[in-house]
Amino acid sequence: MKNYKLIFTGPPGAGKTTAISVISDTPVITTEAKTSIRDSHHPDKDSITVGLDYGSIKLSKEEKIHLYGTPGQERFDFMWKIIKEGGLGLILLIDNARSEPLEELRFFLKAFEDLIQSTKVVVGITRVDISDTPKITDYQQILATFNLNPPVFEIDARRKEDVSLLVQALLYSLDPSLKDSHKS
Amino acid sequence: MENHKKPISIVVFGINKQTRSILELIFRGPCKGSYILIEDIQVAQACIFDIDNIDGLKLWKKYRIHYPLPTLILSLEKQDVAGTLYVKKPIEIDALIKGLDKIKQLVETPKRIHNISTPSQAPKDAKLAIEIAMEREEESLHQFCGVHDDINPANPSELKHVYYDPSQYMQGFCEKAIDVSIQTKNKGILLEGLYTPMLLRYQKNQMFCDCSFTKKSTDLLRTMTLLPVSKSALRMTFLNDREIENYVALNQLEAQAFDNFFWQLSLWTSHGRIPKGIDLNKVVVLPKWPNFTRLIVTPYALKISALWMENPHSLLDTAKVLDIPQRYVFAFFSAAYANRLIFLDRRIKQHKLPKGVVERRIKRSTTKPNPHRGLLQRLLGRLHRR
Repeated sequence: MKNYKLIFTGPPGAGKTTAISVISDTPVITTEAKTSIRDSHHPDKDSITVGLDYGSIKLSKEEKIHLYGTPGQERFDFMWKIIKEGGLGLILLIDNARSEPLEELRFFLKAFEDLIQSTKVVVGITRVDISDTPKITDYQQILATFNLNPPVFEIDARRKEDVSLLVQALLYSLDPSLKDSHKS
Repeated sequence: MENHKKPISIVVFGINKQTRSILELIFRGPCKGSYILIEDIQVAQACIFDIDNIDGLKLWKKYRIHYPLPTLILSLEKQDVAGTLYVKKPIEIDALIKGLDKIKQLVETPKRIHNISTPSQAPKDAKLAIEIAMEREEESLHQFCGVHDDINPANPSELKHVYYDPSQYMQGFCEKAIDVSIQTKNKGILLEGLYTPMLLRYQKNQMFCDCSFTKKSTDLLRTMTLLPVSKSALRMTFLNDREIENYVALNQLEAQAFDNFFWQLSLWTSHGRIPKGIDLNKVVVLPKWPNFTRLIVTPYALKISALWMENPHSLLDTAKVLDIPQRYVFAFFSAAYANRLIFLDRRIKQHKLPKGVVERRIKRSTTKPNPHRGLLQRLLGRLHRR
């Protein structure tokens, strides 16, 4: 069995667990723990991911794509190094409703710089319905300072179509010559 | 002058809802009530038949055997069928009216085609829900991207078919309103003279109108986008915030994202063609990926974007490099161009590049596979199927 990885990262509550669950073939294995400290951005969220999220897409008997979600909190960053090893590409989710989403973008771009340099990144902006600023153009400006110009989509992590499109954009960024299965 | 004669009853075959709405508008408007659409073929005096529709030819054969009515055929390709009249698609109102006049003459001086058999029941195919769903998806794809074959750019008669003039349609008026909004930094512009009033707040990416994208009014909106506008009736009025609020409340207009609205509108209008004046050989520059999750994603749009983000190509070369039908490149280009997401690089004209450069670019674009191409391809296939 050949195993490959797609990495989902981003701050706590950005929708990583949800995004993985909508495209995974298997129920997501998540290592969440009850938190005693409520996140002011997600007052109804009483658990945080302390280990990692795991889902998978089985392509054939011999091939499987593992979907890993990193724990959002910085204190678990030692795990990021392990998870990102050998990743095919990075899906970075940013919660638009948090207080410093642009700073968080900068932070994660730096933290995953080596993976981004060796593969590609796509950025999904979540919870735009809660806060419509910053705009996509603001994110694109930050990305430009890192010399990056990747797909940046507004997404609802609960919508399979949105997550699927984001991953498809990552695949086409990795190889624009992939054959499209649309009818002509 | 009002028409006091009894209207000629016309039945339609293979016509989608949008075209049906257009026909109804034309019958009531320019034709002054001379024709009426009916459902029952047994009492119809004439027929309008779209032969390009799915199963069009099959249906046509059955229809022709049983119903030798004066018939007007709608098709993208010229149809020379004895005893029928032909109107080219996309339908031009003048051509349709001329065709209808001839139909009227035929009805009023009936000359039925030989072998009149007793009318039997109209053919009805029992279809599975999935087939109907697939047909609908296909139909909506055709509405956005058309069904034209690739053109040979060296052939002027083929070349002219890829162009349309946005200024003749609602799209052109909206584009003017965008220009005015940008130039004047105005907060709101009321667009009048269309089939329904619309209010544009470009700086806020908002559009208010009474035809939000519910299924019923989407048909109406599409009909509006396809009808040529009467330029003399078009008017723009600036509104301040308070006037906007009042107008929206009074007319019960609904807000929607303008980029999403205008993307769809320009896809419908372009129908797989490009605005007149666009040079097929100039390099297309896409500075940023469009926000695809909030737009209609036409076939190959992600692939085209990925290519243009990596290495700009002309429209013709894009179709060649990616090995996809030109109409999908044209449709995506037209929507992105109308939405100011794309521009043509005025400095580079690919046909002026030294011989072999384009070929080398094409080769470079197609011979740099990702080491995991097969795997990525299979994953993409899985995501498409979901």
